[in-house]
Amino acid sequence: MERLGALSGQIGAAAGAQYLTFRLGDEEYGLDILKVQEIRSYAAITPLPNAPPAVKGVMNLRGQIIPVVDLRVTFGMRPTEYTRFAVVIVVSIVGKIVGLLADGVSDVLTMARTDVQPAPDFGAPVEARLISGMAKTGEKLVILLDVERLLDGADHDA
Amino acid sequence: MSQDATLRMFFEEATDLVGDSEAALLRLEAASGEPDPGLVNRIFRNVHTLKGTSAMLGLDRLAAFAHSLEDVLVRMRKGAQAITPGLVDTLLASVDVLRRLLERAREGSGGEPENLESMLATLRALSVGPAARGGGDGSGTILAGGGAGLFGRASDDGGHDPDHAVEAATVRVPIEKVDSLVNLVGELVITQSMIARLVAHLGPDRARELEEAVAQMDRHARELQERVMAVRMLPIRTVFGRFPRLVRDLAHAQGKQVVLEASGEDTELDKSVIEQITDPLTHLLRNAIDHGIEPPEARRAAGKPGVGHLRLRAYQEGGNIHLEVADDGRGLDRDRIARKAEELGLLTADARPSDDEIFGLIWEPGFSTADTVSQVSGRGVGLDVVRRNVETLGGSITVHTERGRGTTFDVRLPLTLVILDGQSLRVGSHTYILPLAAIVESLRPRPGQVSRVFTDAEVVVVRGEAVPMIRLHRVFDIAPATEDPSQGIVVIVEHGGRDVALLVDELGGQQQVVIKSLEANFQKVTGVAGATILSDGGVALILDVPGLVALSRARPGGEPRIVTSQPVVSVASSAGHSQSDGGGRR
Repeated sequence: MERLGALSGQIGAAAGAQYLTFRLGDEEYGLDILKVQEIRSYAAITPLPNAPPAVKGVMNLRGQIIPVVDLRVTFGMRPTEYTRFAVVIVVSIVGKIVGLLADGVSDVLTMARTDVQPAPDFGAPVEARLISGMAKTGEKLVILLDVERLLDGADHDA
Repeated sequence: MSQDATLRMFFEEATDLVGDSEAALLRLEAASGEPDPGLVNRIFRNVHTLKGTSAMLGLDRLAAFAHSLEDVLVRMRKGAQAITPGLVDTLLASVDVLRRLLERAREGSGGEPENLESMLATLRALSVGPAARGGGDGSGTILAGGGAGLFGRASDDGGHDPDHAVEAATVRVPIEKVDSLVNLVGELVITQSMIARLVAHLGPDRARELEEAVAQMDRHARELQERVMAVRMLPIRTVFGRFPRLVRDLAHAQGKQVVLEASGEDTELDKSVIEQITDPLTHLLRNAIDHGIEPPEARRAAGKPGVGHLRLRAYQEGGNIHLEVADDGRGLDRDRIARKAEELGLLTADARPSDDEIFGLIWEPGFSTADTVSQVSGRGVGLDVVRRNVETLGGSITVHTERGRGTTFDVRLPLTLVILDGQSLRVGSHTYILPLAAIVESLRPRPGQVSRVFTDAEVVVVRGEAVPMIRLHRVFDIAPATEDPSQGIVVIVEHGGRDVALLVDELGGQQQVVIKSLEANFQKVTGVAGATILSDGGVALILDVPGLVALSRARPGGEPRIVTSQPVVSVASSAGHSQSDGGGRR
C-alpha cells in the first residue's frame, strides 16, 4: 500500500517522457504516465453481461462506474486469478476513465527518446498495433503500450 | 452582496411573472369568445407587482413601461377596452419588451429595446383611447402590424430567452423539499449525538445499541443524500411552459392553425437534462410546424380539420423518460427523402431501401428537405444536431410516421441522475436491481407451471395466461444457483403493455438506488439500464426490460421467440408468427 502511495506521488510530479511500468506475468509493460490518473488496489469488480472478453467488468471509482479491462486477455495470455497484489491502473483517455488490471506496478521510468525503439514486426497483428515501442532499461525490456488503441480494441471488438 | 441577492431574486420572480402573464395572455386569446376576467386580473396583478418592485429597486424604465401596460390592463378590467386579437398581439409584444428590459437590467447593459418608444406610445394611446368602438379597431390593426414585425425579429435573433439564463445560474427549490432536508439533517445530528454518548460509555453490553445507532445513522445519511439528489430534479413543466408562445408565433407567421397539447408536465428530470433538452425539443416543434402540419386549406382538402394538433407528452417508462412530439400533419414524404438522398449521394438510384432505412436518412448531417425551408427553420441546423444532442445525454430518438396522418418523434432519455425505486434480486453470485415500477408480481412456480413451447421457448402459466419466460442467467450467460424454475423465482414484468416473466434465483430487498450511467466511461450494454453503488461500495447493474427482451430474441436458442402473452389455448397457433425479424437487437 505504501508503495502505491509513493508511486501515485511520483505520478503527480511526473513530466516529460515518463512511463509507469507494470507486470503482467513475466513481462514488463509501460504506459505513458500522463495518461495515468491513479492506481487502485484490486477490489470487487462486477461483470457485465455479454461484454467483450477483455472487459472484466465495472468498478466503483468514487461514485463513477468505470470499466476494468483485463490486459491478460487483451494480450492473449492465460487468465489467472488475481491476487491481492493486483492493481487497477486508472487511465483517462479522451474523456473516458478506464481501469486496467495488472499483476502489480513496478516503477516510474524516465526514458530518453533514443531509448525507445519502434515495435518489431510481430506475427500477431492485433497485439502489435497496441504497442508503441520497446525500451531497454538495464537488462529489462519494457513493452510500451499505446493506451488509446488498447481501449479501441478492448471496448469495441464485441 | 445582499443587494446582489435581492436583485437576483427579483429577476427570477420577474421572469416568472412575465412568463405567467404570457401564459395567461395565450389562454385569453384561445378563449376569445368569452374572456375570463380572472385571466385579465392575473395579468394585471403580475404587471402591478412588477411595476412596484422595479420602482423600488430603481429600475425606472422597467417601472415606467409596466405602468403604461398597467393602464391598459385597468381599462380591460373595467371592460372599457374590448379584447381583440390585435390587442392580445400588442400585449404579447409588450411582454417581449418587458423581457428585454429585464434582460438589459440584469446584464447592466445600456441601450433600450429598439421598439420601446413606439410600444410606449401605443400603450399610452390605448390607455387614454376614446377607443372602445371604431378607434379600438383602428389601433388594433396598426398594432398587429407592429407586433408581427417584432415577432419576426424575436425568432431571428433566437436569443430572447432570459428565463433560461436565470435558471442556469441558480436552482429554485420548492419549500417542501428543503423542509425534508432540514428534518433529515436534524435526525442525523440526533443520531450522531446518540453515538457520541454511547461511545463515551462503551461497555461490552452496549455493543448492540451502538450497532443499531450506527445503522440508523447510515439510513439517515443515505436518505439525506437521496433528498439532496432530488433537489436537482425539476418538472419538465419548466421546459414545456415556453412552448405555447413559440408554437403560436410560428403558426401565425406561416398562416397555420396549430393547437399545442402538453401532458405529463409533472414528470421530473434532472436539472442538467432539462437544460440540455430544451433546444432539441424546440427544434422538433419547429420542424413539426414547418414541415409536418399543413396550411388549413391543404388540411381540409385532405379531409382533416383545419386546425393542426401538436402533442407534447412526457412520461416515464421503466428506466427511461420519454418525450414525445407528435403532429397530425402530412407525415414524412418517402419519395422526397429518397430523391434528396440520391442527390446527396447517400443512396444509389437503383437501391431499394426499406421504409425504415429511408426514414433513417433524416438523421444524416446536412439532410433537409430544402424545398420547404421557411424563415424559421432550414437554417442549416438539421435533425442530426437534435440526435447528437439527445445522444450526448445518453438518450436515443426514433421517428414514427404515417403518410397523411402525422409524424411522432420519440425522445428516450435515460434516468442518468435519477433515483430509482428498485427491487434487488440475485442470480448465482450476482446482484441486480430491477425497477420496481416494471414489476407486476413475483411468484415461485410450482413444478409443471413452466412449460416448454416448441424447442426454444418457455412459458409460465399464470392464472390461465401463458407468459413468455426469460431465464436471466441465460441471456446474461452467467451461472445460476439453480436451473429448476420451481427452485427459483419468476418476476412478472411489463413490457410494451404485455407481460414477460424473468427467472431469477431469489429476491432481495427493495431500495432506492441512484442510477449511474455505464455510457459515461464505457458504452451501452444491452439489457442494462445503468448501474448503482451498493452500500458495500460494490456495483450492481440495473436491468432494462426492453433490452432483456431484445436479447432473448436475438439469442439463437434463447428464450421466448414469442414475446406476446396470450391465452394458453391459442399458444399452439402462434407458431406461424414467431418473431423472425432477426433485428430485435440494435
